Amino acid sequence: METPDLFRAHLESHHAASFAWALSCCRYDHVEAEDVLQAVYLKVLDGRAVYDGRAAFRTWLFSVIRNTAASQRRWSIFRRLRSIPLDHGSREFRSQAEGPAALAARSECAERLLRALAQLPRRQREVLHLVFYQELTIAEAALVAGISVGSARTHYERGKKRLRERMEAK
Amino acid sequence: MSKERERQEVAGWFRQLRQADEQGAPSFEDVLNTARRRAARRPAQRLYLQLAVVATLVLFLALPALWWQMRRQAARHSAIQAASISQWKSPTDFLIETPGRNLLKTVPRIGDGLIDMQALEIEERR
Repeated sequence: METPDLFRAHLESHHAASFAWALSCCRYDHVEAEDVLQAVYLKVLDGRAVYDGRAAFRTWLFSVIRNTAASQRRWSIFRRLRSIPLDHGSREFRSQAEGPAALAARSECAERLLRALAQLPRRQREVLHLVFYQELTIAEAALVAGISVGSARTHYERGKKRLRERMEAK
Repeated sequence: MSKERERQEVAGWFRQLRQADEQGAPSFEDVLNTARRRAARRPAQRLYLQLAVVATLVLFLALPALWWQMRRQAARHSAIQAASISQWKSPTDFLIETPGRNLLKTVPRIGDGLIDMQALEIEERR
């Protein structure tokens, strides 16, 4: 059984990667990604999310982040319905809350990649992020996304093809 | 273009994105401290949520029971009402009862007297 201190050290060592994955799960909304990450850290440190050692810690952590982001997305639908009038399809891929430093640091290529990724289906985007950004194997990406390896491979191939088309079209 | 070159090209794009993202990430301490502050506020929120769940459950259980009870009461009430109507008798009913009324309801038989004294006596005794 791992102590909270050890978990904390694990979380800290994967923090940057976790934040990037949370960003991807939250369509690059920085505020939402931070919310998700806070909820995940609490879940891990409070023992509500239990690491059973069946997969690598990072793979497990990423699946917790993905599930937390999905549940927050569902709740945010209710919150949005309650406070802001519906604005179908106009949600931006990147939040206004993103700091100017982060925006300035991003190269034109990175911006184009974000725009192209925004046009891909969620599964394809997830698998591409996990494989290329996080450098996981397709099998690990499948585990994180909760799909079979075969289906992850299909998403990977189709996503890669569509991403290249989008990038070349710009 | 070979598959490997394709893969390397896409990997290169993501590498650039990762390098850009590294500068925009909040610190681990900030995220954890905010999370802990939120957690400190959470017990009250959780209590409200639990209360709301319990209230909703009670409402869902109580409403059908109440409805069933009201229906039962209404059925009983209408049965009592129907029974009382069938048994109702006007308080002035005796006024329309005339002496010898029974004679008028029966068919006279040959050999009987015109006025059946016995019937009259019974009538009067009432």
